[in-house]
Amino acid sequence: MSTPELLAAALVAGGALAAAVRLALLRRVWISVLLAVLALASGALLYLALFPPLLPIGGETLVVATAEAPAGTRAEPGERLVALPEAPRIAGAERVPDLATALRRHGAVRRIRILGRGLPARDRDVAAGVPVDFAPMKLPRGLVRLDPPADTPAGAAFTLAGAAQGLAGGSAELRDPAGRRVDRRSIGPDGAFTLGGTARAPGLAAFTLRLRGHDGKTVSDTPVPLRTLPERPLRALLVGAPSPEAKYLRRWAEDAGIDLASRLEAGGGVDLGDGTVRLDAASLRKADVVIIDDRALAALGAGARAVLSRAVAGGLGVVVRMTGPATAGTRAGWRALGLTPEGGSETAPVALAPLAPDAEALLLRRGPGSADVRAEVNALDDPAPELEHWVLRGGAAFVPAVRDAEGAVLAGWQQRGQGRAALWTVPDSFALVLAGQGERYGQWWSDTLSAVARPADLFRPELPPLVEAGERVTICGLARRTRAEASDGTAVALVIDPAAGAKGCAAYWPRQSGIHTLVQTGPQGERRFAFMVLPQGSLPGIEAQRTGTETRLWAARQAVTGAPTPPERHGPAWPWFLAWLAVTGALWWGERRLRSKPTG
Amino acid sequence: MSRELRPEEWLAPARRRAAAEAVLVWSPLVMVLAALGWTIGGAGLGIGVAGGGAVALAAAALHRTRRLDRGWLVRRLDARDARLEDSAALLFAEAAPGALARLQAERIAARVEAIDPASLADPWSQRRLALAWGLGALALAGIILWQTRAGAPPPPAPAAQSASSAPGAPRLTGQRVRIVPPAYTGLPARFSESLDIRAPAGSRIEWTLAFAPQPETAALQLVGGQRVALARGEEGWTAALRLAAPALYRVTAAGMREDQPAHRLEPVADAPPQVRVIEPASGLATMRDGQRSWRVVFEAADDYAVDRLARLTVTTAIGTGENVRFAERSLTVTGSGDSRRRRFVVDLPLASYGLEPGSDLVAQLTVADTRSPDPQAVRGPGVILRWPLPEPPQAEGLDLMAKQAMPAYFRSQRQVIIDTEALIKERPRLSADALLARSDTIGVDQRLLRLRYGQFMGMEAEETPKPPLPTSDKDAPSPAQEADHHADDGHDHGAAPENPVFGGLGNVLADYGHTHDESEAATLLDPQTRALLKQALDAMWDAELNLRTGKPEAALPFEYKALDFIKTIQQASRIYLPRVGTEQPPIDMARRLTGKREGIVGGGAQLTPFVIADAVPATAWRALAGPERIDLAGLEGWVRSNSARLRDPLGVLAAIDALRAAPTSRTRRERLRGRLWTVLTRPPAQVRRRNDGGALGQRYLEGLTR
Repeated sequence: MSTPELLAAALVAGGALAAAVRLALLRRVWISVLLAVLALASGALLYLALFPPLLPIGGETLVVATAEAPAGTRAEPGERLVALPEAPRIAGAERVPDLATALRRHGAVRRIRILGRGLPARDRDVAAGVPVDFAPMKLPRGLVRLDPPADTPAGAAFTLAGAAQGLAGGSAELRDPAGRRVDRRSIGPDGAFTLGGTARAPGLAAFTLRLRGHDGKTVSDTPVPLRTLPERPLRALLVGAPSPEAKYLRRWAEDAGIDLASRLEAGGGVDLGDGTVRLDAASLRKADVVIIDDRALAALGAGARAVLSRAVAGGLGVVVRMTGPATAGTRAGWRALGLTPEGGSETAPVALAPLAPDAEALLLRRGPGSADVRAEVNALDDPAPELEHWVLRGGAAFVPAVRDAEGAVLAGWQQRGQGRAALWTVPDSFALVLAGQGERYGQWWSDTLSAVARPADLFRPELPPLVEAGERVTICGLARRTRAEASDGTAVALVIDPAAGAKGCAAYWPRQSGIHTLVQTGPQGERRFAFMVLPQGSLPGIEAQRTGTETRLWAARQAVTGAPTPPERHGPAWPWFLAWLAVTGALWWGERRLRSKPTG
Repeated sequence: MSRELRPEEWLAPARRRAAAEAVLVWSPLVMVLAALGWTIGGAGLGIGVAGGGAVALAAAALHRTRRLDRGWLVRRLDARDARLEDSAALLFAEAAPGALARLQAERIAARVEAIDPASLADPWSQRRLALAWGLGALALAGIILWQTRAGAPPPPAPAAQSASSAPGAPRLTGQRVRIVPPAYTGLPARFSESLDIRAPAGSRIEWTLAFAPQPETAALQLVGGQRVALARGEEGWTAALRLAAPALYRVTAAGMREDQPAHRLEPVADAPPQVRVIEPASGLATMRDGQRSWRVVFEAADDYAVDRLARLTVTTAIGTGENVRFAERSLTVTGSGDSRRRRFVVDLPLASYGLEPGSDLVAQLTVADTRSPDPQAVRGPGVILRWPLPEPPQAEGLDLMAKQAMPAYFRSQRQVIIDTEALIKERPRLSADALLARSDTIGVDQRLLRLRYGQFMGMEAEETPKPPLPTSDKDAPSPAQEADHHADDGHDHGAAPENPVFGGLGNVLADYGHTHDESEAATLLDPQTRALLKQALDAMWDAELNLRTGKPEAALPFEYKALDFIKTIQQASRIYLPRVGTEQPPIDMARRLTGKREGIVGGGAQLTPFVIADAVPATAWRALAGPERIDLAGLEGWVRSNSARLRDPLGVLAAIDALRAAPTSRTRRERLRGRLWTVLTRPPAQVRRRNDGGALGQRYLEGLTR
């Protein structure tokens, strides 16, 4: 109760009480008592006429028109229609700059109904405090989901996934930066598809995802960024018996820029490798990954095995290459390295997917040939080698690194401390090289070593996979003194949000599309990380899908947390005033009668 | 009687008229056809058509004159003059007429003579002549018009010049490009619509360009290359160039802006011909019984023309096993059919090659195209005609490893039989000692033969006993020998070693009763052959035993038996050849068996790393993402030096050239960046390092393991 109200109440109560006492003491008749009561009632009514009591409101619904809301929307009785900036022109709608403004203007709103695509990110931070109704619209025809490829090492294959709405029976094509088709898949009834390609030299490339409808007409072209990072050479040790696998592994490692030292025991103390490999703690600390075959692992002494195990816990990666069926003894050796899969004593054939959908795509994926290997030497229809792998039964902790076309695990790894240990189950994978599929061999080993090799302190900021110009992005994993350089050379210093804590996050608002680079200067010198900013509006379907989903989640949150505080309002004053007038009139008449009556 | 009324004289004018009319009516058609032939197939075809037409005309004229014979003359005379009273036939009758007929003939002879023979001829059919000549003239006019139209160069096409030019600067207003492919291609010269030219390599390109206003000089500037000056002529500015290497060029003129669009000069290389075997259907044909000749049909295709003459190389491989003689003959064959797709049909007379069963005949065609200079010759696939050997008995399971061959080793068992039979014949005249000596000699032969065969069974061939095969580690021969024997193995063992001295009796039991052959170690022969060979050896043993003990009669049946077995083996024999190519390095005798291992590894294998040859374009590709300048000259040099292995070097060069004109244009940078992707080699898949997640990530992993 506010101060004027209190003051008024005190005055009115005092006046009424004084009048009542005076009337009551005027005559000792029953009517004077009645008049005193009437005086009190009049005072009460006067107060109520001045301050009518609060009444709960029956409910007003705020109808919020967002992007693509139907133009013919009208407010029903009990509703109030507002239009956000994204909404089309709607007659009779009140334009508001954002949802928070609308809520502030209309405090009596007890419910919100959202029409159209949904709320943009700007409005989803607001807590409406009232239940929200929202039914997502049907998604537009075209691309509605895109998972761009992860960072890819040079020369490796990559995959991207996506989903299209309303294009069942159409096709999805991946085109390289020169516009040539490197992959093509038809879109199934669920709209999902997966495409692949190959990376080249380190840098940022822009592939294009083209969707075609049932009739073959192009529906959309979406840029897909591919980031290929330059890497420091890996330091690897190869331990095992001389074998074709060791030979081709050395070949691939040499070509892939791995600093590989090998110890190839030919028996009788004869080492066909470099003669420099020792498996002691000091040299293992310097190595990033050790590739050891199961016999060499079994032949290690208990001390050497313990050293290796400790080195894995300290961050080293180990790949155990199976050359024969696993026995209880070999599995015990695996467990010492932190590998717990069972099985490994039976073989199954390896199912190999074709290298490319057609011969032309294969040529494009390989790129121009060299003088040693001409581009057309190994054709798509060359027979694939028949490979076998040992079948493992791994638990949840055993993560597949390489799978075959049917999903069987060919190599998998398990975490142990800071490091990881992997099992390679294809004993004769070198046959891939002999059959002209050297790139597949390299890809498999690249995937395996990438999964387990010793982690390093790298500059890898976290940011959303697809960044559009004109949208705010949150970049994490930054340190101070980081700036963002746009493709035209303009630089913006990034300010770390202190609230984000150790994650080191900053916001960045790219104004123009193209390649932007994060440059961080620190004790390790200048470190750079490039990312691609897509032109504004290049992902309409994905944006629509995300808006719909996020708005639905937001709406669900409002229903849960929205406190039931029914809004109230002072009721109309006139009934109380009339009642006061009647009572006061009656009081006046009664008092006249009483005074005019002779006292007796 | 006026016998001088010869019908030929009367017919001659009419015949001349008829022949002339036929010639006159049909000659326009012949002329039109000849003109058509000339225009389509050249002068040769024109003259040929004209000659043929002339012959046809002559034939037609002759035919027409033949129809005018005596009967026609008589009918024509009778119809001509009623006064002849339908009796002209009497005048020209061949047979002697009767008296009455002669009277009538003489009566009308005078009336006939009054008729001019020339008036008998048909009048000129003026309508037909006029029609024929009219139509012919029209057709000829049409052909001439068509030719003049086709031969004349089209007017210069209006140039599509995108670059806006300063006022007063010369502008390209018209263009005409004539492409004259090399003569050997047989392609006609054509006019190109645009300045981007794609033509057979070696073509002559002739430009005719028009500018407005007229510049002082003009030239074609090859990007990064020569400058071809344009000469001003009647029709405009002209220049010509022979198309050899892919290049970009732009049209420049004095006063024109520099950044004119570049155009492509792209030669299409002549593809070598392709040879396909039509007949026989498979590469290996089998000769039928009594086949005399073999037909092979090849088809050669080329993009322009296949040379009519090709060389067929016929190689014969006669003989079997190691005894194969090769001979090669070459003959020239003539193809037929369209010049782009010629068919070479050859019937090879088999008799002249001296084939035997088991021999092969390989035919291979070498064709060339008509490129000049240096035609491209291609050797086609070979087809083999095989005269199959008689089917030998099959040995299961080993077919893959076996090579059929007829060994020449088994030869002298028959000689042993002949000697034995001779000895039996002479036996009555021989003393017992002499018989034994001679029988023993034959026995030695038989023994040598047995040892030779025994080699195939894996038994030792040496004269002195040795440890059976180096399969056992035992050192001393005799204990080893004894160790292989057991008390209960059913025979006695000789104590002394075999005496190899000729005639010496030696230990007959050791020699004949038991041999330490390691038949299981003999992997040379398949099991059935080995069983047969073992039977043959058994028979030889028995024969030898009897021969050495001086009983040739007893030996003879065994000798025959052995011969039978050997003949069977010869038919079934399969000899297993060692694989070639396993040349071992020479053994260092000085360190053999010393147990020292130092220095036996030859320094380890040194690998040559894969060198990425695209450092230049990769650097440029990365630099193009940002605003910095890039080394366009170096990039262009790289593209030029690697153009052989790139798919579309011209596209990259064009993008480089476009960027050079406007180094800051973002779209041009993007286009060149896209183009450069096509020249980047895919390196072997490298390894991605994972991030350790910083101190936070490490603490998290430590927390997981705790």
